[in-house]
Amino acid sequence: MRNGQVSGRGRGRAGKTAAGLWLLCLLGVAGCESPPPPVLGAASSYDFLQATRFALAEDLREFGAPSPADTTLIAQGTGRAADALEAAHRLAGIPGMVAVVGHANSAASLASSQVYNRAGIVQIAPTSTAPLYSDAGPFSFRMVPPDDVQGGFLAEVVHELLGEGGTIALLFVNDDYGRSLRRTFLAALDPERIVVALDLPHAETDSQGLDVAHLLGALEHERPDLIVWLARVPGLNDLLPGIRRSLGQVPILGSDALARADLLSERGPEWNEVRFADFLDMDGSQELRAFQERWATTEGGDVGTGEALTYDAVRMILTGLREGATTGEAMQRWLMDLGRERPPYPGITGPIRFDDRGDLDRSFVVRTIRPREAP
Amino acid sequence: MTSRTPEGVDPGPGTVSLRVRLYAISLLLAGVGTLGFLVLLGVSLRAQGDLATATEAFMEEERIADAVTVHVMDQLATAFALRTAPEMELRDAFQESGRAAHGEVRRYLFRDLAPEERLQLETMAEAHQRMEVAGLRAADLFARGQVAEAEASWAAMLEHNRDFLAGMATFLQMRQRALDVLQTEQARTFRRVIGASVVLALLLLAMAGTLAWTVDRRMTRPLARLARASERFGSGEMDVRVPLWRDRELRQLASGFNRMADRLQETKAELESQNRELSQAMENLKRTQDELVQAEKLSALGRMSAGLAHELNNPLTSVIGYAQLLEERLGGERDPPGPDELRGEFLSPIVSEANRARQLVRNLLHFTRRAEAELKAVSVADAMDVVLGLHQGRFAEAGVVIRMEPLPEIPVLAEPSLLQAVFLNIVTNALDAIDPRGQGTLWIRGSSGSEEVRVVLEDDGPGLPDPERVFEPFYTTKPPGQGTGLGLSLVHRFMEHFGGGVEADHRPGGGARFTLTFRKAEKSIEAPATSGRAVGESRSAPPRAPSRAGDDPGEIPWILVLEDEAPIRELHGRLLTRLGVRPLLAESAASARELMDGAEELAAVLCDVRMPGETGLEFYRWLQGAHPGLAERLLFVTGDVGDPELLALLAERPDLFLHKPFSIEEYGQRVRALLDRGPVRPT
Repeated sequence: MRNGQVSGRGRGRAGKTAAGLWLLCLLGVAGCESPPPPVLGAASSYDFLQATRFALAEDLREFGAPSPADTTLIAQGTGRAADALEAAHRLAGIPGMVAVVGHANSAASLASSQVYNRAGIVQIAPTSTAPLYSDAGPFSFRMVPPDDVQGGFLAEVVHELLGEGGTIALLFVNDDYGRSLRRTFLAALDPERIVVALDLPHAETDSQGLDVAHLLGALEHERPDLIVWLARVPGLNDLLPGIRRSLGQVPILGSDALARADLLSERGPEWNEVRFADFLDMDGSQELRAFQERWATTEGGDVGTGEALTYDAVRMILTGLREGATTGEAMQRWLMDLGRERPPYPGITGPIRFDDRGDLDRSFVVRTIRPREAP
Repeated sequence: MTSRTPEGVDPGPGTVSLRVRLYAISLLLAGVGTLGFLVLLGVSLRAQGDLATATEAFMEEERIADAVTVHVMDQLATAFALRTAPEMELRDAFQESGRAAHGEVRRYLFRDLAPEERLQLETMAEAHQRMEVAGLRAADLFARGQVAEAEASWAAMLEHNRDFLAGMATFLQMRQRALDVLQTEQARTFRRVIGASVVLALLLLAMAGTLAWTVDRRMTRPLARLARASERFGSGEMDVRVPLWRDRELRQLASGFNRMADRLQETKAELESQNRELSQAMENLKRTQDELVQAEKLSALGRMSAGLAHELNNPLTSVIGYAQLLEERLGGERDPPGPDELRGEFLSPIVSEANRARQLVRNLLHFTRRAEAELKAVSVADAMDVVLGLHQGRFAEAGVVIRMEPLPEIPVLAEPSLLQAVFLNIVTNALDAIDPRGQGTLWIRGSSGSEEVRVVLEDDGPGLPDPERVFEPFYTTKPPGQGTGLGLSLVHRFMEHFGGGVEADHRPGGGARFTLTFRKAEKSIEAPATSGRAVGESRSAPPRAPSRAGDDPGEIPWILVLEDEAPIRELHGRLLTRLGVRPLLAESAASARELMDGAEELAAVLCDVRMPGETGLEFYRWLQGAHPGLAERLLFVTGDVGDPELLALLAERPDLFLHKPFSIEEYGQRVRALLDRGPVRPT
């Protein structure tokens, strides 16, 4: 175009032609550039990640083809919100990320939820029950009902266990999970029948760990008729031997945080007769029993409801990917269409249909840890 | 771009419409301006909105931080109370304040935070959780008296509190830094907006200048040039043209102007050529008109001469005839005439006919004085008498009865000769209109007003087909060759020359009417040297002649005389009697036929030509059919040679004519020659 022999009109036409060609090239390049392949992320505890791998393997076996999405799994040993945030930023930065199954608990899921909502990535929390998560945003889903349901359920169980009335010791983890569950539990508790003799928080994030001595001292001082544990397994695992020594077989009712497979398989005798709220009765349906059998065959050992919920979440996302929901927005619409524009997803945990806030309308069951049979 | 316009003006190849060009530039200008304005507005609004949002968010966060701090301080205060009084209400208050503080912290959860800010927030939340746990633990230990452990937890609570507050401060500092960055970015954006505004203004200015330059160069200048060209063209520079500009409209305009100029130039050349031809034609027409006027004058002179000849020849014939008869009688040896016979039969007719001729000549001379070129007082009555006197014979021949009321004796302004021509033309026009019918009436009357004299001439001829056109030059209803079409036109011209006018219209009851209006003259009329008038007499029918000249049948031949004028008829009788012939005198063709019916033989027929009613030529034609032998013995005795038919017959048969005035000898020779041929029976 620098040729001086070209006339002015010719230069103008040539310039327009060149600009048109450039535009066509740009459009062509833009049109030819294939979008990144869909990616499925998972950020959770080791148990839940194992369930994720199990689901991917079963999907591969069932369909005989590679997974419709790449997968990125991030294991989180703790349920700290800070760790969850770091993992969420890593996952959100991966091109093609469609959905993330995680995180480990309510605090972690709640903290990371805004990262995913702002990135347009679907987040399915398998076991997060914090009520605030319902307001996290349109991309936030969970496989369990919120604490409003669990708090009431636990209160009903307490009422049944204590009959005419009694005292309870309420020990809770002082994070989003424990705080919200404590609040809903206390709200549902009948104060005329049940006296909260001890109401103590603990911090799982404390570098010094659980102050077992203090808690035991308090329990021995109050000697409640029932201990309500609104926290996770490690703290109770530290505390239980002391409880059994000083308070004997005082009834213990835990929240869903105790519904872990490792607890069932590797527990000590102090765990016997400990009750806890669970999302599912793993023996309540053919699908769940079959799932346990397959899990036992492939993975070995027992499997909890968290793994089953994680399994359903992963298989459900893979189904959505196969049906064309290869972006976060498409996946969000696909999930919201379940039970509306399309049938509920037939998970092993039951039909899955999310309400307008991304929650599942399910109830709880009480499970009791029975003494291990002698080999 | 090269399509032909409806007007047929080729816009030229590759031309672009100026309207399109101006629209394009204007649209580009408006588009760039609007787009630039919208972009700047959008950027400004967005920056302003971002800043407002950030400021509002920061203020909200300040409020949240204040609330968190208040709740945490409440917790701390409650913790101090629990240190000394570990009551359940205080624990509940502690936990309620903690719940409130935690709720406020969680309000940050859904805010737009940077990753490090969100991480800092979680660190704060953890510090708060640890503070609460340590505080409640300390309170519980204080309550159970474990002071040492309680103090340790108390110290831990305070440390976590400091961590929380420090974390809060750090968080707020991070938010403040983010706000500072946003403000810096805002300032940079505003600077860019200002710079872009300046660039946009300069760009718009440049485009406006380009538009103005384009309008000036592409429209104003060509229009000014076109205006100058039009002005020059209008001032007569027919070869001025304008160039064909590039823009379609101006190219069409220039093309149209040039084509118009070409056509006007061609048209002007054609007009100049036609003007030259027209001038030449006008010269030819004027020359022709002059020739026609001259011809008309000559024609009028001829008509007047013919009338004059006829009117003079008759009295001259009588004078000569009676004089010769007298001479012969006086020269005879026997029976000389006595004084009474001499006066009564010879001298009186001679004197009478001589006076008649003298009067005719005097009148003619009086009105043919051509030296009188200026208007003067003239008597319309005298002028009318002259014209009617000169055409008395024609009136009789045409069977025209003239009924003239006395005209006013009031002098009018006119030239006598031209006034005579006026009357002559109108009277001739009436004669020509009536002549084919053989009889008619010409009414002449006059009236006078305060300023004018009117003379009205009416006839009962066929009338005027188009009275409004009779005064147009060369307008005539006569057959070709019988009229120049200038007679009445000259009447109109002469009357305007007199200061009067003439109108033509239909006469009620049929015929034509001419109304002549003259101005009254102040001076009186010079007395004309006339002693009488030859006009004013009405002639109804010629006097009947005696049927037979004598009763003796013997050998004396009979000759039939057909003459309307009594003196001439009487002279014929005397001359024929002198020749020994018995005359049968008839005043008209009808009486001639009656006489012929009663005659056994006729030796000859002597016939006048111009007579009232049936003319001599017509009688001759009848005679050729009814009595061929007698037609061979007919002799025309006439003084009129103006009639073309008569002239043609004269050229063919000169022996048929005896011209007036004639001598007795000549008359006798021609009669005897007829007698020698013997009589014939008229049946």
